[in-house]
Amino acid sequence: MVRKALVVDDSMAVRRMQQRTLESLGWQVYTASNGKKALGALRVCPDCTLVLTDWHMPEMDGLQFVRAVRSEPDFEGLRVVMVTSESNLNSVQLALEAGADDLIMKPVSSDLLGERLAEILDE
Amino acid sequence: MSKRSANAWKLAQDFMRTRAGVVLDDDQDYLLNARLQPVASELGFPDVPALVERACRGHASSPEAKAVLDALTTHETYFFREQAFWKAFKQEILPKLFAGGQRPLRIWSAACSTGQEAYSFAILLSELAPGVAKDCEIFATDISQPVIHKAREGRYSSFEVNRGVSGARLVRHFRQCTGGFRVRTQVRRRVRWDEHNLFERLPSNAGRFDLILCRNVLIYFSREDRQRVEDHLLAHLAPGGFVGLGCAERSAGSRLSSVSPGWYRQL
Repeated sequence: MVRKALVVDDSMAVRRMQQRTLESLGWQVYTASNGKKALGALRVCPDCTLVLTDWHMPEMDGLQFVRAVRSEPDFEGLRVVMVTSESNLNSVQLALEAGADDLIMKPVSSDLLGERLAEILDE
Repeated sequence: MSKRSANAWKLAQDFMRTRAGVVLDDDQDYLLNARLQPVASELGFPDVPALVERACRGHASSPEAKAVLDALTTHETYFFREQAFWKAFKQEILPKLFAGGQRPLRIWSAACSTGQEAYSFAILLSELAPGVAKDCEIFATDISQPVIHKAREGRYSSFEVNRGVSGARLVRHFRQCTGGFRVRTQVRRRVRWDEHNLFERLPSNAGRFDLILCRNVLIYFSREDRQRVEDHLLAHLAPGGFVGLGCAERSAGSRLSSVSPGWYRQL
């Protein structure tokens, strides 16, 4: 069965890079440009098991999105990883407290993204 | 390449092989300018051949010799390098070492480079065996004084921690510092650092270690030199102990048998 992931970032270039990386690892990938659209995408695609989300986005940022995901029982078990230019220890703590499974700092290459995801998903 | 530079490269190759066992191939001569030009400028030499000649003909502990050795040594490393290796440590090696109950371990990270491997062990042991972690001894050595200095400082950039450190570990075991993150004191004080050339034996009073790590290093050595270094390492392996190599490496001789990815036991 094909695994499904959602990539959330307001930069098209970043979405494309992450999408290509995940597709090369065998994932089917959906994309959204902010947290609000991502929530909508998850509701119509409940079999997504992984979300990569940026932090700073218009309308609904990544932190609000993660909190919203964690407050919905329908999304229980969903793995959420923040991929962000935030590199401050307080921000990392904030992301984890909001419910993110982990955080990867930008800039991140395709290879490193793949390596970190393998660790996070324990593959 | 001028004849003078070509001669300097041959001198540098010979120097690295005899002093540190590192085999530099003929087609790696780009290293001469890429890595030694900045060193030559810093030490005030007119050009790279002048630096190499001084380094190779002077005393082994001269500043020029140490600088050339350091510049031509590969220091590539990162936290929790090779997932399969750490998974095997958690699931197979540690349970074997703790078969009779948890006890303080002695670990030698030989060729530790900038310290990520030694700190990875300190972090993991504090998570998996908090009761004995503070009594475990992690001894980390490298041939290069500058990298030992960096390792001891325990300061890493965002890029360096991003390679292998999870958010949860970052929050728990690091603190923010100028330019990045610093390993917290309680982790740093669990590691003892020293300068050591793998071509030489450790002092006999160094004792024996339950784990000896020499990962992704022996691949740069000739077969004979690999054997020699392996003998030096095994002289300090405790009965029932394990040797950790890179997951893609093979044991040089017949004295090690593979038990799981990257892990070996003495036959």
